[in-house]
Amino acid sequence: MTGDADPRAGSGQAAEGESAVLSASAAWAVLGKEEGSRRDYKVLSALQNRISFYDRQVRDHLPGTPVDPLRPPPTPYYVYWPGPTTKQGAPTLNCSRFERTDVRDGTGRTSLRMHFFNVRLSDLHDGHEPVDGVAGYTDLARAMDGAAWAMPDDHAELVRLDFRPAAVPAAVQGAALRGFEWLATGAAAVLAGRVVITGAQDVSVSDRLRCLDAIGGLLPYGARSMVAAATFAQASGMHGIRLFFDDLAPQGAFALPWESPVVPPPPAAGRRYLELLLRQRQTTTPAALFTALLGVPRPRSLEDPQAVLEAAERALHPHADITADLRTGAAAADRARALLTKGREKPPLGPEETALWWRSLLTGPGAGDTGPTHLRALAWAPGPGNLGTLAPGLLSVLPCSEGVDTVVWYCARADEAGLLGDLLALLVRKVDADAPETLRALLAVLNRTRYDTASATALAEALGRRTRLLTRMRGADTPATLDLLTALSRAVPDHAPVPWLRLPRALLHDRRDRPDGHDRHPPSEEDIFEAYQQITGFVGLIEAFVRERRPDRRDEALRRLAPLRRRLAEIARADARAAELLVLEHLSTQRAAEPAATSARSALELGCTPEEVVDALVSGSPDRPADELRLLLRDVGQREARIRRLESAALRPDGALDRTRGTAELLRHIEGELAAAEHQDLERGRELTARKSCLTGWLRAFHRRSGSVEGRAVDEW
Amino acid sequence: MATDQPRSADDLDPDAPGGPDVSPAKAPRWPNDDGVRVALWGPSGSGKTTFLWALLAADDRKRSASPWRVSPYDAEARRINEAVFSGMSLKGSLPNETLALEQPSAWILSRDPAAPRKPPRGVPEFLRGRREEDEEIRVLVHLQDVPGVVFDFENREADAFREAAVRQLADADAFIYLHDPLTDADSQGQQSAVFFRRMLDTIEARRPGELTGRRLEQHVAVCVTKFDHPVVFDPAYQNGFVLAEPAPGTSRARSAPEISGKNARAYFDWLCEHHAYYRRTELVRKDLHTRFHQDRVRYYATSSLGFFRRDDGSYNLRDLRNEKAGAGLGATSGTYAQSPVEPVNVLEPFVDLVQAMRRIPPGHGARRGTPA
Repeated sequence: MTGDADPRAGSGQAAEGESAVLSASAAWAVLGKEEGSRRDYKVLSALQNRISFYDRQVRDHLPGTPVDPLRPPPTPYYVYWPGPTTKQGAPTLNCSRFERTDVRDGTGRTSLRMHFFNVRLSDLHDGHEPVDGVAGYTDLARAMDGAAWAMPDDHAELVRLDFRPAAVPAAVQGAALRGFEWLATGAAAVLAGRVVITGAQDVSVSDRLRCLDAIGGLLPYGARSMVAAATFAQASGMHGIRLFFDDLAPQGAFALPWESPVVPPPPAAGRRYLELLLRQRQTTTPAALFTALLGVPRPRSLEDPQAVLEAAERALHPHADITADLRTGAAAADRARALLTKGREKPPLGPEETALWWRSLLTGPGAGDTGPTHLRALAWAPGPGNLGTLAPGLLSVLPCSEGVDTVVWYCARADEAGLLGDLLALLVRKVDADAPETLRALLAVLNRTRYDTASATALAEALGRRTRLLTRMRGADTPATLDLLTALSRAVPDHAPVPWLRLPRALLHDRRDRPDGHDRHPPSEEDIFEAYQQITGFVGLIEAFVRERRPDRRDEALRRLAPLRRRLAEIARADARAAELLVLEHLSTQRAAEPAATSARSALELGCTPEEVVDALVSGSPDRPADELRLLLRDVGQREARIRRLESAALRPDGALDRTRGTAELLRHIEGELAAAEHQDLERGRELTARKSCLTGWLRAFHRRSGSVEGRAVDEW
Repeated sequence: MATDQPRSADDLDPDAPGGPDVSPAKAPRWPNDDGVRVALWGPSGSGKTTFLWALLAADDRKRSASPWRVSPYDAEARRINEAVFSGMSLKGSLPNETLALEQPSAWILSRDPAAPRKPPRGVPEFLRGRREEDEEIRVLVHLQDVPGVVFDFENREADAFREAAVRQLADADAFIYLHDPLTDADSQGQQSAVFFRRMLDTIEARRPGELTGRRLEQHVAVCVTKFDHPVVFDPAYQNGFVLAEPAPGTSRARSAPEISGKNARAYFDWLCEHHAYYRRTELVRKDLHTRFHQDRVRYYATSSLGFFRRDDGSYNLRDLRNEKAGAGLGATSGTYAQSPVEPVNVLEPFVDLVQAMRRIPPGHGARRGTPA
């Protein structure tokens, strides 16, 4: 722009507080006169040589020329107006830049040149919420300044417009130039018809653009995108420009004098709109107003001022009546989510109303659409009375993108309220142990949270009560689980009633810290058994802990644990719940010659859930499952003659497991054998039926993990 | 809101005229009153806007010698008038080119019987008697200027834009046709012929039955422009169409050369028929003869800027061109008038047309120009 920075200065790193540079592809055309020609202005070149098409685009929005050549408005002249939709139905914006050049026509006079661009409205938006990253008139003018220097030689090539989407800052600057009432009057008058800003002959192009940004910014963006605006247009011109600068307002147009101390009232069609803006201004900053109105992108006809008014009211009072609607179960949750997504001024909700919003968003219709950002934006301060409601909500969004950030944010708020331990304990108590994604996210939260002693103790106690949770956590993310345990073992005081957590540390340091701090020696087996009583999977955790943290002491630590295994096996046999631990231990040590078979045998004997065993089998290598399953079958078959016969069939080189429909075939055989056994010996039959159930679980898990299409056959079986 | 698909070069719908809710630019309309509707007509670069400005400058220069005065009636006219005074009258500035269609501007043409009149050439002032035209006259005149692209029918791209202008001109009462000999003759001939045809079609469509013998009703002032340009002036002078009184043995004259009304018609005919260089403009002459009632067509040799007058007040018949390229005081678009603007035959055709409109007898078309 004239008087501004070098227009060729292109994009670059955004300075602090500035938005990033965006690029938009633009259709283009150039209008002017040919050197020495006596012909009138015409489109000289255009994208794809579509001269006629682009001539139609520009003719109705030529701004004209100033009547008084000795006092021309500052150049360049910029014009913006709605463009045609694309073939895909995307709305576009036309914009042009006029400047006098040294090209002389056949009469010897210099001529004007217009650079025309057409951009998609969607390309003027940075796509982020809240929607303050939208390109305004000022931004586009700068972009056109740059592009006009480098129009393509190739008619098939689109022009690239580089701009910083800063419509709101430009509008704020415009608001500083003129009073709010002046700008609001202009915006309201635009709804009624043509508006001419008069008496601004000496106002620079930059200020004109900012002023247009401010007036346009007081309209919903969808309505603003339908306004044809210009830094200059001839008042008597038969153009379609609705908002422009000139020193005369023609009959029927609304004159908005630049320096007038008294702003004339807008035409009747715009008065209610002006009242709305002035009323809103009493409680809102101009920047917030601009931002709110930018959030209404749907193009809206200016010929329906009432619709524009209603759109603006919804944008400025987005939470009106939502709370009441939520109470009645009306479909207000979507509006509430939209409001929270936009991150605008939060509605003034009390604790009860916030709880209502919270519940409605998480349990009402469309609850699945509620995401972490909604809960974060709702910012429900944790308190003694709402933790029970907060925790399930946080857990529900935990696996989502930004879920961890959101829960960490709430943890920080809870910490401020002295409720961190309580919240964490609640999260641990309520988390679904069978949801690996949630467990992984919860581990991330727990590892990012800073605990004081009390909070760590509360968390450790809660973990200790979930006998299977740590095992599941380790299955979901072993390193994160160990990080958590390490952190907790440091944070939990020695006198806290969580010995199972202190033991890894003691084992690592070859000592056991007594409460009095004087009597130090390695933990005894009794210590570990005591800990084991509190949490299943403890030995596996200790093993992993030792391997991860002290690789140099690994063999020694494992050797020390060996006698414990025997005791643990005894315990496991006495306690069916512990069977799983046994299996996992076998698998995790990876020392036995046939660990899988051993584990499987144990699991089958104890009738445990085989899921994690299969997980462990599959996790090794893609080729491993079939081989492992063969081993399992072989091992099982050694104990059951009938199944052993099947095993021999399954292990043939062209065995059932390797063939299409092989599993179903195998299962039919098993079924037949089991039926025969049941017929011969009822008691034995019952036992085999239980075995069948267990084997079915194995096969189902196997097929789920290996992606076999034959899982359906197992289900049917 | 954001569309992730990259943009293609041909994704704009060729049939889409504009945004979905854009009101198209309104077509110009004559005010619904009894004002005389005069349209300026001429190809691009023929000087339509300069003619309008000269009309006002002529008023400034000739006020002391002419009873006729052109005064602004509406705000746009006042703005033009101010620009003419501060620009053309004081600094020799030329107007900006007309880029867009505009509403007609409104003027008052008035005659002050008390104003002194310039006596006819060769008639002593004391012999001039009082004539019946010496009554006071005030006529509202609407003047329509249009960009030259309206007449450039080779520019098919502007067809849609042109339609609005043609409809407006079809409703005019009178034309001031600026025949620019400097414009390519072929182009001018074609532009004029096509334009008349389009006018006829439009009038027939809008006012069926109003054509008399396939002739247009409008009055026309045919002004051969750029008369100060040597390419135009020299052949006319050499062939005896110009009244000039150079001092013996010199090319210096004390008074500005001129072409009388009768000579002007002959000059135009000669220009079109005999002068080899302009022979193709014969098309225009034929159109003017066949499309209009002949008693409604008048001819003038015109120079909006007037002749270059030297500092001693004399004119050099070999150096009459007033427009000069360069950075003069009032050069806003590369050219300016190097001596004070004294338009030649600019006010006259305007006055003649308005007067002719006032004299239309009842039943012979729309009588216009009732007192303002």
